[in-house]
Amino acid sequence: MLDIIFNLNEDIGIVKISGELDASNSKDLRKAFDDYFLRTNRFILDFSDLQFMDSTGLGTIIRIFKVTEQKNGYLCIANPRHKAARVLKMTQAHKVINIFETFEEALSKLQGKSE
Amino acid sequence: MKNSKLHKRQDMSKVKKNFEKLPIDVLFVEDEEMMRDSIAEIMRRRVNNVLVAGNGHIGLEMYKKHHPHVIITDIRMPIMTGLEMLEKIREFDENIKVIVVSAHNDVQYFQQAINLGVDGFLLKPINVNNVIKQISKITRQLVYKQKALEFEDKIQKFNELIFQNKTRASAMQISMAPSWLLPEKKLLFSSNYIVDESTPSGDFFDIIPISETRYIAYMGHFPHQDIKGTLFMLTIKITMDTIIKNELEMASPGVILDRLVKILGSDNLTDSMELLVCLIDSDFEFVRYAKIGSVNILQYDLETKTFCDLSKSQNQLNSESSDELEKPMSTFEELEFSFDEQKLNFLYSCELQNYQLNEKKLGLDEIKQMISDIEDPNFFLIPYIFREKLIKDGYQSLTSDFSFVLFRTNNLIKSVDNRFLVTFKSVLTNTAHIRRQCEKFVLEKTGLDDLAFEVELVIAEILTNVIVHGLKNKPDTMVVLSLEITDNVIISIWDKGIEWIIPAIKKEDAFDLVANDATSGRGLPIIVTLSDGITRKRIDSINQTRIIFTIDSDKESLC
Repeated sequence: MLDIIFNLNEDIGIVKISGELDASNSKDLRKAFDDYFLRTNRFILDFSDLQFMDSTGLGTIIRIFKVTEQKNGYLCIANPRHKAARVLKMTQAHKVINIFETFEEALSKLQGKSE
Repeated sequence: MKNSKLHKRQDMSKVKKNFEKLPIDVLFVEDEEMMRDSIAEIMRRRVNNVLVAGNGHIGLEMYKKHHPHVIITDIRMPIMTGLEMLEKIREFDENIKVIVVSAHNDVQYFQQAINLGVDGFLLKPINVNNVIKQISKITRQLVYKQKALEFEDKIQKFNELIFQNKTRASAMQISMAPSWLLPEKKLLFSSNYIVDESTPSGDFFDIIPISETRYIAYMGHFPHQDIKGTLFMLTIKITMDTIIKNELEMASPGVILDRLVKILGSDNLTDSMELLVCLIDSDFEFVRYAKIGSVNILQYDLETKTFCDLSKSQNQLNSESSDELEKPMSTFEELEFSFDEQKLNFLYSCELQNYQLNEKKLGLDEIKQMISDIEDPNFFLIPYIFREKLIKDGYQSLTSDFSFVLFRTNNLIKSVDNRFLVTFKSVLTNTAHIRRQCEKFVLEKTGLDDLAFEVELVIAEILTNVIVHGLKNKPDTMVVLSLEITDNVIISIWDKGIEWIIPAIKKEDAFDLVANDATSGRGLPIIVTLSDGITRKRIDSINQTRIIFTIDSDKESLC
C-alpha cells in the first residue's frame, strides 16, 4: 500500500508519501519522480502518513536525493512519524538528508532558500 | 528375345563390376619413358586416375598439385631422385602411401627408403600384376581407414546426441520433481528429491490433487539411471496423469496400477521397478495404497515415539473408511492405514537401502533409529536432515538416487502457543503481510512495542534484501518462516536458494555502515544492528537462517 500525492506550491514540489514504502513498491516512487523532475527540483517529502519504511525504501529516497543534488535542487523530509521515523533515526539518515520535525519548518527553510 | 537381351545386360554389368576401377589416384614417377607409359597404360585399366612424372622434381610438383593417394617411384632418376622427392614430401605429409621401384643394385638405398616410411617395394623389371596387387592392398587400407574415420565421426555424433538427450532427460526429470515442500490445504508434503543435472536419476515422485481433500501421490524407482530410465519415468508419469484425469474422484491405487500395466505392459513394469501409488484422503485421514515392488511406508507417532512399518503389517481395510470409499476390483492388493496430527508418514524407495557404512547396508532399523534421533521440531525438514545425517555419519551410496517423502497434517500456517509458522511462495512477491503478522504476534506475546517493530523490520530486511538474492531464478520456491518466542525471539527461515554467506559485520561497526550514504546495502547492517545474532547453515540444498533477539524489557531501544 503506497500512496503518492504531488502538489506544486510555487516552485516547491510537495510529495506526500502515505502507507508503507518497501521493496515491493519503491520503484513506483522512483518512477513518479521522473515526472516530478520535469516540473521542479525543489522538494519536501511529507512523511506524516508514512507508516513503515524498509532499507529499500530509504535507499530509494537517498537515490532521489542524490539526483536532486546533481540538478542543483533541494530535497528534505518533513514530519516523519510512526515506524518510518524510527528507521530514519536508527539509520542516522539525518547525516545525509535534512529532516524537519514539522512541515512548516521544512517549508520556511525552502522559502527562505529561494529568497 | 527380350529376356535374353536382359540377361545379356545383367551379365555385362557383372563383368563391368568385376573390373571396377580402384577408387584411388596414383602418381607414377619413372624416368624411362617407354616403360613409364606402358605400365601407366595398363594401370589405367584398373585404377581410377594415373598421373605420370619423368623425375623427382616433376613428381614433387605433381604431388603438390594433385595430392594423389599413392606414389610409385623409381629411385635413380635425373635432376631429383625418388628418395629425395620422398624426403621433401614427408616434411609435410606423413601419411601418403609410397611404393618404391628398385633394381637389384639399389640395395644401398633400402635402409634410407625404410626410414622414409615406404609402404612397399617392387623389383625391376616391373610385373604389372604385382603393381596392381600392391595398389589393391593399399586401396583396401585406405578404404578401411576412411570407413573408420566415418564411423568415428558417426560415434562422435551419436555421443553428442546422447549427451544432448541426457541433458534433456535431466531437464525433464527436474520438471517432474515437485517442490521440496508442498503445503496443501490440509496436508504438507516434504520431499528430498535430488536430480543431478548430468546424471538422470531413477527416482520419481509426484502428487496430484483429485478433489479438494484427496490426492494421488506416487513414488517410484526405475533401475536405469539413464535416458531410457528417464524417458520411461516420463511415460509412466504421462500415462498415470491421463488415467487419473479420466478417473478423477473415482481414481483408486489398484485400478491405476491395473491400467498402467495394461497400457505399458507388465514386462516393462513389474520386472524392473518399484512403484507405490497412494490415495490420500486428508478429510478422513486415511491412505489407501497399492504397489509394485518394495517401496516402504513408515509411520512415526510423535506422542508415543514409536514406529510402525506399514508395508509389513497387513492392515485390513478399515470399516469406517470403507463405507466412504468402496474398494474397487483390482488385481493389485489395496491396503489402508490411517493417520492424524500426531503421525508423520514416510514413503521411501528401497534405493535408500543402497546406502552403506563399512559394507553394512542401511536397514529399516537404522532408518528408524536415525529418524528418532532427529530432535528438530521442524518435522517438515526431516528428508533433508536425514540425508545430511547419512552423509555426516559416513554412509555412501553408488547411486545419486534419494527419495524420501514425508507427509503430515499441515499445521504450519497457524500459531501454536508461542510459535508462529508460515509458508509462502517466494520472497519475490509482496511479503508485507508476513512481517505485519509477525509484528502483531510479537506484540501480543510480549507487549513490547519496540521489540515488535524491530522484529518486523528485520523480517522485512532478511526476506526482501538478503534471501531474495539467493532466490532470483527461483520465483516459485517455497519459503518457510518460523517465529518462536521463548526467553528469546527466534526467527528461522528455510529457503532453497543458492548458498550465501553472512559477511562479517561487527555490531559496533554496523551503525557506520547503516549511516553511510551509499544508496543500497543497508539490509544486513540493519539486521546485525537490531538483532542479537544471526547464523545460517546449509541442510543439504536448503538454507536455514536463524536470527535471535534476546527479550530484555530494560533494553534501551535503538530506535
